[in-house]
Amino acid sequence: MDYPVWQLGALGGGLLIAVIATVHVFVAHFAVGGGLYLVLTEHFARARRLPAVLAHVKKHARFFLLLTMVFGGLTGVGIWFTISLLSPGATALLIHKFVFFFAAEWVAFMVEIAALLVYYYRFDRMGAREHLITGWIYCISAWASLFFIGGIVSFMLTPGEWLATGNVWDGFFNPSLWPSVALRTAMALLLAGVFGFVTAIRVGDEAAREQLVRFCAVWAAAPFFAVLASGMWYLDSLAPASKALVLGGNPEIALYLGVFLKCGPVLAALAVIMAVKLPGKVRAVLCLFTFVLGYAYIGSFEYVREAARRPYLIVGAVYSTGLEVARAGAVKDAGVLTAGGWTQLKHITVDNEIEAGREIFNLTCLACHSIGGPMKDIVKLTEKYSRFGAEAMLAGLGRISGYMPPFPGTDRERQALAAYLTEGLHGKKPPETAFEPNDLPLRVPVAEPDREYTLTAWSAQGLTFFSDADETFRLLPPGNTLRAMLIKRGDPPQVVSRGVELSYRLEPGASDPAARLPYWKFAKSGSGESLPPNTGAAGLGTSGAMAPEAASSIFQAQAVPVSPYATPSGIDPYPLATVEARETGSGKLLAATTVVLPASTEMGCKNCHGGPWRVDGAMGVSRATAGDIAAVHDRRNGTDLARRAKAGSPAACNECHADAAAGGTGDGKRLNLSAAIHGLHAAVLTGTGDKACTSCHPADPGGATRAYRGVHLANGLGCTDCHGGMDDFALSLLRGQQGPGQATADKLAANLTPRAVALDKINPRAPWTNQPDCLTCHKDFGPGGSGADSGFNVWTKDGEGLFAKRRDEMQAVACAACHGAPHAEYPARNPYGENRDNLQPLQYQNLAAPLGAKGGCAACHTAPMDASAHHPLPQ
Amino acid sequence: MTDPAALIAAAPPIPVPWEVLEGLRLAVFLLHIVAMNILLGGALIAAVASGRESTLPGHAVRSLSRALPTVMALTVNLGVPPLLFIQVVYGQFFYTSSILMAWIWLAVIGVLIIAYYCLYLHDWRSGHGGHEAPARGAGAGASTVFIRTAAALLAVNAFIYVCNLSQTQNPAGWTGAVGATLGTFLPLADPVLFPRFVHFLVGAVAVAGLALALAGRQGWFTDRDERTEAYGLRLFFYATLAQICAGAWFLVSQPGATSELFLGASPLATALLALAALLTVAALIFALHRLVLPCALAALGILAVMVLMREVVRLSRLAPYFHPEDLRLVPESGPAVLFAALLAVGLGAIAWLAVAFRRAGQAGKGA
Repeated sequence: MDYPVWQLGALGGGLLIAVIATVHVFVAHFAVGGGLYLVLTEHFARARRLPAVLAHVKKHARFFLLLTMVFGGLTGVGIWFTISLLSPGATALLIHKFVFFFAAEWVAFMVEIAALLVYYYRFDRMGAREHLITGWIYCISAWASLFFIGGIVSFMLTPGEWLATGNVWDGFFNPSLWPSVALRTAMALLLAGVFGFVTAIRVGDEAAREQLVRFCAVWAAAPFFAVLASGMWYLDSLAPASKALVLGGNPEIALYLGVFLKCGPVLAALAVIMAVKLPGKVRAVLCLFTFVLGYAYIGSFEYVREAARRPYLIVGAVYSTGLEVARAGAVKDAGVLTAGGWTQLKHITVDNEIEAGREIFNLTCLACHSIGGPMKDIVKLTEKYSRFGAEAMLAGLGRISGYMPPFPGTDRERQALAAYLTEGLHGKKPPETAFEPNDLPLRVPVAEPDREYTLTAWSAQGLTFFSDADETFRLLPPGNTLRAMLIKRGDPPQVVSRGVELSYRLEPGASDPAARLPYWKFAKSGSGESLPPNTGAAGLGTSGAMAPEAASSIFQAQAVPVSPYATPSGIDPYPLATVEARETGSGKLLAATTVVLPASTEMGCKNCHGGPWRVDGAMGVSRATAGDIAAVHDRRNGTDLARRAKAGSPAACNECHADAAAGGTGDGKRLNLSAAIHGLHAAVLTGTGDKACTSCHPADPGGATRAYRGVHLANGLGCTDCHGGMDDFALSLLRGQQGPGQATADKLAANLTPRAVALDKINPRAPWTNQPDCLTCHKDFGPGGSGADSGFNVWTKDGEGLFAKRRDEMQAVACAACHGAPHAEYPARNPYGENRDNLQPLQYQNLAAPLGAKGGCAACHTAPMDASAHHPLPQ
Repeated sequence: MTDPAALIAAAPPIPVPWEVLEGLRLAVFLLHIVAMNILLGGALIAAVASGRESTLPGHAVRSLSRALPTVMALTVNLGVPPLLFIQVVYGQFFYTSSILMAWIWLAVIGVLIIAYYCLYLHDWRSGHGGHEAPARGAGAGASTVFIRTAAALLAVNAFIYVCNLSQTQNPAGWTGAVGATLGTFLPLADPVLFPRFVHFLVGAVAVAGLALALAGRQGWFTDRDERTEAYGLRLFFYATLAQICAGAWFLVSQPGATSELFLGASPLATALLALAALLTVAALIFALHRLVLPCALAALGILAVMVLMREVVRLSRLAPYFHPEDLRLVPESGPAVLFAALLAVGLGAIAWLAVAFRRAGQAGKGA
């Protein structure tokens, strides 16, 4: 943060260090192994009196001199230059801490150069013994320089005890020092053989050539096993987090690890083939291949090693951006723009927001992400995010992936960066205008004042959604449960469930959901057979009979198939259902009413997963969005959702994740669906209040559904007032996860911050059945505020306690029968026609309010009432 | 206008007293400067003298060419400790300056690699491996392109270094790069830049000339060669005269607060300048009288004094912002002891190698 940032743009993201470092180590390791090769070959040549071989040693020594001293030495300095240009802060730390180890390496380098010069320039004139000693001096000092640099480099990945003690010896003699030195030594011997081929295949004397090529083949092939073994030792010495990254946690590493693991055996095989007496030209081609593979071998190893440090440069001490971990708290408070002196902008305004975002990007992202270049191109990676999605991703940066550092700046800076990443890089602007729903035709049903029956109906879920991307994955069937209660008016009124038949019928525009939904193409019933079109999960269609529940007398039509896409066209998330009560036997119509049965596909996945709305620019999960979800799920969890979708048999989420809503107990190994989705996404939606909910659920006040529309909204309450903030909400689900998935639950919970109460005080809950209890805030049925301020942490015991199923103190009338559907309690304001949800109150008491409000007991009572046995009334 | 002090990063603590670090740096830097002057000056001399009639004998040109790659190896190697220690003491300035001119600084690597290979190519094309091959004639024309390229590149490299080290000690000049660091920011407007560069170039020619004179005197190339000796001394003499002017120009181009240190404001600095002047006069007189060894010693003295004067200038330029005593000391001397022990071992190995080298050289001559 304190240094100027070299604005490399497309060449950023570490490209320069990747190139210069891999080129250097390729030559430098040869310089180490090759020294031993020269000495041993010279021994061999002198012992066996082979002048042709000896002549070759001299030629190889010249090749050696030219390559390692000039190119090898200067590219080493090049690494040094490059790291101080790209990561000056971290480089300063290394240099200051390990200055005398660097100085020790210089001594080795100096002796190396002197020895090599003497070895070559006095090749013919020195006595054999002295010459060989010169070679050994070279060899030992070359290895010594590898050792010293290896110590410092390995420290960066496994600082070990140094993190606690700060002691330089702890830093140098760190957990991966010996494994890395072992691997590098093996690699050096291997590369000695690879480079050895270059001169060996051109030796004129045939016998000498064959001897030398075979010799090089041993060098190039045999160390492979040592590289593999020391590689495993190296992996074992890593901290668990780094190890996890290497073993699949980071998809980029997986690519390079794959190259490394494939190169080794192929290279060894090629080396063996080289030993066979082949024509010169063939050998030259093979030599070229081994050379390229040799570079790929060590290059991929170095790439994996560097990447394993993510998100750090010095694990646990300095982030990849150069920010010291110890300083992160102060920088977060003050902001990155003011942490150092090199930024043009210090304050963010509406006008300079994108430019500020660009400066913040350079400080906090450019170290790893190029802009339009080959290294983790940020332009490609951010293409799918909406502004809110980008803000959310930045808020939870690193928590889910484990290989990104947390965003180090203030919230305002995070927003500015999100603006740069979306609007600056892609020209994406947040939508200027909200969706404007149109008023739909509505007819309030009529009820005679002296009627015999009052029929009320409500949807079990006033706020609901499903995904219509069934060709990619199957999340939930389209459907809502319709409930009704028939009350015979009188003194006292009677709840009637016998001798009557209730039926329902969706309006014409909603009677063919299959016309515009793909669900039935892929749906299977419990028995594995496809469901016929327009049939819900419980076997009911768009019209049919409602069955009474013996204990509660509530009539129910479960999982009625209902779609927000009207036929033939248009969006209608609130189709109407006509409910009729008829006398059994005679079929005489006793009562009828109309009620909304909500349906929506406004799932906000596209905020982060990209893609457009599927239908009419209003709602629906598009194939692009679903495809990204599947791809990310596959990448993170090793699943094959994308492949199955392509093959035409998309997976259903409840195959693995238990889901009470879609049915199924999952595979018994994983988190239930709600815990999984909320547990994961909470990491990025932390601290965003109601927006966390409405960015996915169809309650966005500017969206096409606006399903949160009842009396609580009118009183200024939001989602989180009852359900808790996103962190708390997710934690309550994760704590409710026992047995299978426990380890995952703990891991996800570690990313979250409880806000309402301490973590161990959060009461676990199962999804769908443990919900906030109305009486937490409405103490003794008092008005809101008579009890607690928040509904979080006090759950209904089970599904029977849910508002949509519960009954009054007499256990007679269902709460929802008078108060309306959850999330749409009377009086509700429907975006598609103000009173679309208030039909029964208007029908029976000409007042949009709970049935019986303002002394309107006549809705069911034929005698005047001066007190309520249903529940205490507000004074 | 940004306050330059706000642009300076904080430095991590140091493990040994700054005087130790500076002492090590300056000691090796002196050796590096000697080698670098011989390299740069030698390349320039070889570039001019190769492929044409010259008062410098052909065999000397060839031997010089032969030595240059090795001199370069030594120069690069001896440059490592100064590069290391300057990052410990002045890293916050050095890194910043390097980043501002990042592309150009990084280009040094490519420039040096190409220069190095050019020196080798020149050495071979001009007939290495003995004194038998002609310096002029069939091979000579082809070989000048490499030596001239190498000399030009080494001069370019010197300019890049002069840019960086000048910018390192002038934080006030950094403010123009705030907010847009594209890696091409050079201190071309700094008045010390060109005098500094000229001073180094001329100095390099002088030192290389003197080295040639020594080679001729001591018979390093062949038996004692008076022509080479005379050439070298002449070059040293005139270059040193020019250097007096270049040095004066360099001095007056410094800000007043710095230059007046040497002209009376600081007893130490003034004494250094006086000593340098005295040694220069002595060296010139020795050169005139063809007293090569005393001249070389005086020149070494001048260089040592110059190294110290250079630090006085740096401390003066950075005085408004920093002094090495500001660095926090968190003692950890173990590694320094390790280094000292290894250095002793290393120097021992080099001593053995030097002896073995000479013995083999004599054996070759005798055979």
